[in-house]
Amino acid sequence: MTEIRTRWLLILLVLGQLFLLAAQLPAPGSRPSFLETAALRAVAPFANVVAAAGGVGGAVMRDLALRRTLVAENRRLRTEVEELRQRTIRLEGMEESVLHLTQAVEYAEGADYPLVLADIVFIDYTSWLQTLVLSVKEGTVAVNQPAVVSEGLVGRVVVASGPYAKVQLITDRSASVGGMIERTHRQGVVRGAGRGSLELDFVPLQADVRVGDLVLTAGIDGIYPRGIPVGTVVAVEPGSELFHTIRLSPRVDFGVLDVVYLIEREPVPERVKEALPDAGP
Amino acid sequence: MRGLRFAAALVVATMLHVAGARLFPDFSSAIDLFLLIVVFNALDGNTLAGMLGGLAAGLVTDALTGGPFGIHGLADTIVGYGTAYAVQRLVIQRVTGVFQLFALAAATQQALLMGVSLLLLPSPEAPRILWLMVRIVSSGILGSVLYLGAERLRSTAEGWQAARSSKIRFDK
Repeated sequence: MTEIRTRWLLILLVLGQLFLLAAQLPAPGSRPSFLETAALRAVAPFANVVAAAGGVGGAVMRDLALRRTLVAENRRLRTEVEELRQRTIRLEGMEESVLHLTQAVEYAEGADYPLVLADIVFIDYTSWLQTLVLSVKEGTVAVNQPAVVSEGLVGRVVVASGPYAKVQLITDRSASVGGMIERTHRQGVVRGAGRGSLELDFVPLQADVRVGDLVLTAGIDGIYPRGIPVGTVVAVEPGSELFHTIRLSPRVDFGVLDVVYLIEREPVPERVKEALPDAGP
Repeated sequence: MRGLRFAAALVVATMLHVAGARLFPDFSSAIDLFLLIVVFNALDGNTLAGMLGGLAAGLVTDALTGGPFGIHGLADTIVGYGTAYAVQRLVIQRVTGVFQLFALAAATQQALLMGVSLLLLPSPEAPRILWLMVRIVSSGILGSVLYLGAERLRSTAEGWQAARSSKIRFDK
């Protein structure tokens, strides 16, 4: 196409567009021309693609920002959970201590005889003689004072020195306690059998003994007062002679002790014990 | 082929224009991508191609903007033709020349838009001088970048073509 024709075409296009513009003037925007609608229809899909892509991109960016926030929040919450877990453990320990002390206080308040609180400063489970070493803050300690806790009998003082005392546990092989089956009041002698267990001796074969029977102190040995729980029958077998072979499980878990109570009670004097067989009216 | 390339450029410009306007509200005031295409299309001096390219790009601009339909078509038609006509008579060897050509095309387009608006519209909007200057400068800068990029691409392609031709040459 020659330059002259191109110029004529330019003039034609310019005039045409001026005419198009002039035609819109009476009421601009009232009725779009075919050309305008066609151009819009051709261009709009591309704009739509960009808008959709922008929407997806925006959503992705928002999700990424949300992810960052959630990760930070998750990290903070994990730390918080760990702190709360540690705090819960501490509080559970405190609750346990409070319950333990509450039981101890209730036991001490309800006892029929005066009690002296003693801290356990040493426990010896390994030697033949199973013993505790106590420290008493107030009061005095005397040999043969019974040591108890709210669950039952622990043992008796075998050595006293100032505020310190050594207690022989009832599970010690050389320990013995006058015992009584609570259900039938049948009496016997509770002996330490080692390895944390007890035996109830001198209960005749005709006596009614059942697994689960509670054994209390009988108060017949001149050391322990009557009615303190000692153990529970876990096995009853016929012995080789006239007596049952009865195994007991101690009521007290010696592994969790931290304090004990010493009973302030005057034991029967040795002089009286020795005088009894010859005592006459 | 040239028409397809121009159409593809228009599609890309449309998408960039829409995306830019979504990201930055003043994008369309500062940069006219369609004008860049019109001027770039007319840089080979073909007045008919420049004119028709200006018409197409202007109408696409009109479809995307809210003014009277055809006003950008009219302005860009004249700018496309004028650019091609000017290129026929000028020898542009430096980037500054390209910058001036694009900036001059942007200024001409704005002048035409204002003129037509004053001539035909009952209450034409006064032009914002600051944005007008920004658009002229941005057209010059972006046009130069576009021109340099295209030149580098063309030289790379020619080098690759020459290397390829030398490889398939058979020596006796």
